[in-house]
Amino acid sequence: MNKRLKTLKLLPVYCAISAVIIIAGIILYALLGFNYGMEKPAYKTFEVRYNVVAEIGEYEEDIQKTCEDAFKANNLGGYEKVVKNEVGGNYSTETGNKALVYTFAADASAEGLQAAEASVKATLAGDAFKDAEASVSVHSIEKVKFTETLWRAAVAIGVAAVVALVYIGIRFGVGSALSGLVASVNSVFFTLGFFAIARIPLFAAGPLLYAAIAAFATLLMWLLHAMMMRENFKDPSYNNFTAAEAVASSLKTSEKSVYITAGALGFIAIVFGAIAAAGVRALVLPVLVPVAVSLYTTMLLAPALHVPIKAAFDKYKARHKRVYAGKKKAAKTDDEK
Amino acid sequence: MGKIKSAIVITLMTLVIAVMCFFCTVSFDMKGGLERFNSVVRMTNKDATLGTEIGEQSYLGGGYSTVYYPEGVISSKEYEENFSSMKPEEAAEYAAKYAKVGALYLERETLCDEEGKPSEEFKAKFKATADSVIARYEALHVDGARADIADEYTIRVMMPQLLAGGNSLFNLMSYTGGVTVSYGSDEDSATTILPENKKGAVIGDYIKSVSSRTAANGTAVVIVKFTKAGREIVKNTTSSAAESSSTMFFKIGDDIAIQMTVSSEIDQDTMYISGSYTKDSANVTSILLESALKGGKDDISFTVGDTYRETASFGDNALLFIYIACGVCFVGMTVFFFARYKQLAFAHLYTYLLFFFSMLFCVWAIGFLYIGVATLLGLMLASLLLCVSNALVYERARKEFSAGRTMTAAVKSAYKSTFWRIFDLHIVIAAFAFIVFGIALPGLSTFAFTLGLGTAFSFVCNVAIGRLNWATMMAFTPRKGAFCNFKREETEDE
Repeated sequence: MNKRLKTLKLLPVYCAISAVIIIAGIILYALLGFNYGMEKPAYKTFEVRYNVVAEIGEYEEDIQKTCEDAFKANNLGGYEKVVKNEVGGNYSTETGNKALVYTFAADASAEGLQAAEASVKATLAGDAFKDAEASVSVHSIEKVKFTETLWRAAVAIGVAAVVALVYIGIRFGVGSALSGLVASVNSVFFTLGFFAIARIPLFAAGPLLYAAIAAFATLLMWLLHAMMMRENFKDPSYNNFTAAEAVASSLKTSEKSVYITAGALGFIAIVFGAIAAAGVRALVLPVLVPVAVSLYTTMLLAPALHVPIKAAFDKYKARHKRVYAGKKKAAKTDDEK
Repeated sequence: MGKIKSAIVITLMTLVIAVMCFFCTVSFDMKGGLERFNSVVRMTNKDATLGTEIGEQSYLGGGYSTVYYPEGVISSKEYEENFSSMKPEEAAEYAAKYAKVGALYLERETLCDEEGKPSEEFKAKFKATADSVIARYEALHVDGARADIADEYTIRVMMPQLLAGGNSLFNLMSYTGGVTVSYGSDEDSATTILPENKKGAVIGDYIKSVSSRTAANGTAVVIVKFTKAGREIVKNTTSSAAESSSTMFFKIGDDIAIQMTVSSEIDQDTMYISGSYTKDSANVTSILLESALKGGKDDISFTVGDTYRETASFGDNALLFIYIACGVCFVGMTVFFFARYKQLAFAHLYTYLLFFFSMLFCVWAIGFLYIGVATLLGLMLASLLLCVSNALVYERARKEFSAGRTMTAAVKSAYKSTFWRIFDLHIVIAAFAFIVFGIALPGLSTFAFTLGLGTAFSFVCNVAIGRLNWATMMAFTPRKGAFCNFKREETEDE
C-alpha cells in the first residue's frame, strides 16, 4: 500500500511526462506531420502489359527476369511485384492479358527507370517475346486522401467516448467520469504525440485508429478501476481512509484485472504482428503503443489525478450532507410508548 | 442439474458446435470436382486488403482497377499499338498529332500549347473534373474505393469486389457534364425539358437533390426531388403519358444515367425510380447525378481504360496468416483457462466456440459486413471481453468457494455479485461501438459493428450459456472443487 501511495503522489511528474510528449508531438506534427510511410502518398510504377501468348509460351518468368535484370543494372532496388489479370465483360471472365507491375518509392530515380524502360522495351521487341505484344511504361501516382472518412471517424470516437463517460458518471459518480475523461484525452494525445515523435510508418487511417484504440482501452481499464472503487468505497472500513489511501487500497483489488486486460490486448497485437503478412503487421503491431499508453494512464496518471478529485467531491459531499435535526423515527415511537 | 439431463444438454451442445464448425470452416470438392462445397468463412465477402481463391476460377476479395483517360489523352500502349499498325506516312502524321507527356500522349491541337506542353486551360479543366470524379468515389463510402491521380492527367480508380454491380459502375462513375432531363419516344427524338431553354436557367432551379434508398425487402430506388418549377414542367410534359407512354431520360453530358418509361402523369415533389437497381447501383447512380448537379457543363469527358483484377493488397497469403494468428490466440486462451481452471475450461471453451461460430455466421449473413482486418480485430476484442467476463465470474466463485461455501452456492453468488459489473462493462463497450458505427464510415464502422454485436453475444453467452455449461459439466464430478481448480482456505485449528 505504501508503494502504491507513493505513486499516487507523483501527479506532477506524470503531468510533466505527458506534457513533454504531447507538446513535442504537436510541434513535430506541425513541422513534419505523421510518417505515412505505409500508405505511400506517392509512388512510381514500372508496368509491363502483355497478352495471353506469354502465358501459353511459358515465358512470363523470362519477362520478369528481364525487368529485374534491368533494375539491377540501373541500381533500382526496393520494389514490390504483382501480376494483375485483365478482366472483361462482367469482370468474372479473364481476357488472358496481364499487367506485371513493379512499385517503387516516389524518390526512385526517374533516369534509372527510363533507362530500365528502354532496356526492357528493346529486349521484349526481340523475336523471343514478340508475339506477347508487350508494352512497357513508367507511371507516377499521387494518392488522394479521402478526408470525410477521417473527420467522421474523429467525431464518432469523440461522441462515443463522451457517451461512455456520461454512463460512467451516472453509475460511478462524476469524479470517476472526470478522471476518465482526462485519462482518455491524455491517452489519445499521448499516443498521437508518440507516433509524431517516433516517426513510425503508418497507414493513412493509422493515427485515428490508434487514437480510437487508446480511448477505448483507457475507458475499458478505467471502468475496471471505477467498478471496484464503487464497490470498495461502500465498505465501512474505507470511511477512515484519506482519499489517497482509499484510492490506493481500491487499486490493489482492481489492478490485476487491468494488467490481465492490457496483457491480453498486447498478446493479440503481438501474435497478429508476429504471424500476419507485412501489411497486417504494419497495421496491428503499433496497437501496442496505445495499449501501453492506456496502461500507463490508467495505472499511474488517472489514479493520481483521481485522488484530489475524490478529495474535493468528498469535501463537497460532507459540506452538503443533510443533517436531520429532529428525533429519529425509532426514538419518536419509543417516546409515544 | 441431474446427470441424464446434463448428458443430453452436453451432447446437444457438442452437436451444435460440431455442425457450426463444419459449416464455417470445411470446404471440399463434390461430384469429382464438378461442384464445390464452400465454407461460410470462404464465402463471406473479403475486403480490398484481403482475398482468397474460391474454387479454381473465382477469387473473393481484392477489387478491380482501371484508368480514366481524358478525351484526347491516350496511353503509351495504345499509341504504340496504333503507331506500329500504320503505314510509314500515316505513322509520321500520327506521331505529329501527339505530344508525349510522361507515360501519356496528348493531342497537340486540343490539349497542348505551342511548345507541345499541356495548356493551362486543359490543366484547369482536368483539375476541376478530376476533383468532381474523386469526390464521387469518396461519396461511395465503401472501404477500399480509391481514386488517385496518375501521370498528372489521368485518374486511376479502384473499387473493392464487395461492391456489387460489376462492369457498369466504372463507366457510370466516369460520366461528366451537366445534367439534362429529356422526354420523348426515343433518345434521338427526345426533347430537353430540364433545364428550360431560357437564359440563365440551370438544372439546380428544377432538381433539388438526388439520393437513393433500399427497402427492407431489398428493393432499391433512386429518389429525385424536384423544385416547384421542376415539378410543374414535369407535370405538364407528362400530362398526356396516359394515352401514349414515352420515355424520360436523365442524362449526364451525352450519357444516359437513368432511362424510365412514363405511362401516367407525374405530379410529385419527390419521384421514386425503381427498376433493376441493386443497393449499390442505386447508390452509384444517385451519387453520380447529385455530383453532376453541381458539376459544370465544361467538364472534360473521360474514356475508361482496361480493367484489371486487384488481388488482396496485403498479399495473397495475408488471410491465411490472419487465420493462423487467430488460431494462436485461441490456443493461448485455451492454455490460460486450462492452467488456471482445469476442467472448468471446458465450460468456457464450449461457451466461446458457440460465441465464435455464431459471430462468423453473422458476419456472413449481414450484408454490410465482410472479412477484413478491422472486422477480425473487432471479433478478437469481443472475444477478449467474453474471456474477461468469464474469468471475472470464475475468480469470484473461487473466492466464495475458498471462504467455505458449497460449489452451488459459490457459483450462484458469483453470478449474482458480478452481474452488474459485467453488465456495466458490456453496456459501455456496446454503447461506444454502436455510436461509432452510427457515425463513422467503413471500415471503422465495420470494426465497431462487429465489436458491438460481439459485445451483445458475449453478454448472453456469459450470463446464460456459460452458466448452463458450468452446471451441466460439473454434474458428473463429485469433487467439484478439484474440477474447477478451486481450493478451500486453510484455517488453523486452535
